[in-house]
Amino acid sequence: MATLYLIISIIIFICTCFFCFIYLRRRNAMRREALAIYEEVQRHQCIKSSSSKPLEERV
Amino acid sequence: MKKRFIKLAIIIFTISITIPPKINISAEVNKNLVGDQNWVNNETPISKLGALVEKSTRVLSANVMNHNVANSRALTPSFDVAPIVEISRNDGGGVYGSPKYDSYVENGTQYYRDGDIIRVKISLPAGHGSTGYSNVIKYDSSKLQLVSDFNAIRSSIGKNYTGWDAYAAYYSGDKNCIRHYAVSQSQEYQGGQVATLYFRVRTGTETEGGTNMVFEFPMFQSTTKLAGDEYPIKNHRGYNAGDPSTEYMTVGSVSIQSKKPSNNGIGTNPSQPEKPGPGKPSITPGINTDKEKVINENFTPEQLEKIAEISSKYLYSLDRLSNGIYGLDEYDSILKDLRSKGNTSSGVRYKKSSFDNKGIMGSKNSISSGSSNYYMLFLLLSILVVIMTLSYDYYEDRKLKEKLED
Repeated sequence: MATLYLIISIIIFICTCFFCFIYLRRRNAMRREALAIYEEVQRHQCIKSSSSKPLEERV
Repeated sequence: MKKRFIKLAIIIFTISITIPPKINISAEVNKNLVGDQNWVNNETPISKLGALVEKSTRVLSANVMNHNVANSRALTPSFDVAPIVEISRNDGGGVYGSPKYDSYVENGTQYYRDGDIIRVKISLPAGHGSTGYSNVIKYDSSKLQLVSDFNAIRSSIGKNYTGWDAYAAYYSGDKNCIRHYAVSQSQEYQGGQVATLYFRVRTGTETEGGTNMVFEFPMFQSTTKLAGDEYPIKNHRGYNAGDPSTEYMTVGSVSIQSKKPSNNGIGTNPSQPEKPGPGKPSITPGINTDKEKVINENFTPEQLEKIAEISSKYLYSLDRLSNGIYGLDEYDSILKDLRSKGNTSSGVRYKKSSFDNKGIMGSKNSISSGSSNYYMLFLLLSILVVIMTLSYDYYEDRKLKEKLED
């Protein structure tokens, strides 16, 4: 019985590690995506703000 | 922040892997192996009484009585449950005895002749709260020959109580002492018969004045600790393992003495069981006689001789290989080997039992080593992994949030 518990606990441990890995991978991907969107927005805002300046300032 | 998190993770991990391993029942039983081997004490009350009553005769008698009551009483109050030992002839007749820790139980007479089979049934009362049990039977192997079929010993618990197993081995290598024990790592014993041992009265014992069979039980029995909990810690009254009170102590003996035959020349009829006298307490509580039918093989004398040879070889091997406790793989392989030899060459027929149904390895896990308790470690590691994952995720979220806010 104890060996059965040991095997089950090892399986649980492996499954836990696997799901944690998958979870962190997805969360990191989401974070990267969010950061990329944020940077994209920033860039667009920057371009927009620079394009809205008077011609003499831009020159 | 990140360094702090890593430090915390390292500390948690270190704590989890340095949790001490569980204490195993095997360790406790093994500890009790160290005992006094000079068990033949001619000054014991039983031998004196036996010598006074039963001298110079032809027929053997067995007197079951308390052994050294005063000493027993001095130590026994710490233990609540005494195993029940029932001694009879193989045909079921005879007077039974139940050595107990602090009480005189029975003083009956049973007659044995050379070649007779003595059956020793060991039972435990229900509800004693133990997951482990052991006892030592000391006898003179020159006068009594162990002829137990170890299938019967091993399967006597397993067939009725899943998770329990029973074993026998020589006590510290002394072939005059059998140590029999039964353990479970997962279940409390529910009571009932745990083993039956068979002894044959050797030729010449009648004329040599008989012999003694002494029973010793440990003061310490493992308390109920089901799966995952620690094994023997304290007995019922709080004695720690290792205290003097946990040592084996003599609790009873059977004196097999010669006795003068009666007028008809054959002594008391061996086939007539002795009846307990009026007012005497019942001496066989908890014994399930139905199990006896399963265990009692009714071997012929030739088969018993062969079984004795096999048993002796097995016991010696078990003791040598595994000190009576460990090495159950060797135990299984030896037993399998012996059984196959017995079936093919010796002509010994082994009755099919639940042992066969279970398979040889069927009960291995019941007494596996302490490392099996490391399943808790894996569960802890699983929890740790989850905690670390969530913590890391939270940390990364915070970092991203700070970055975005900046």
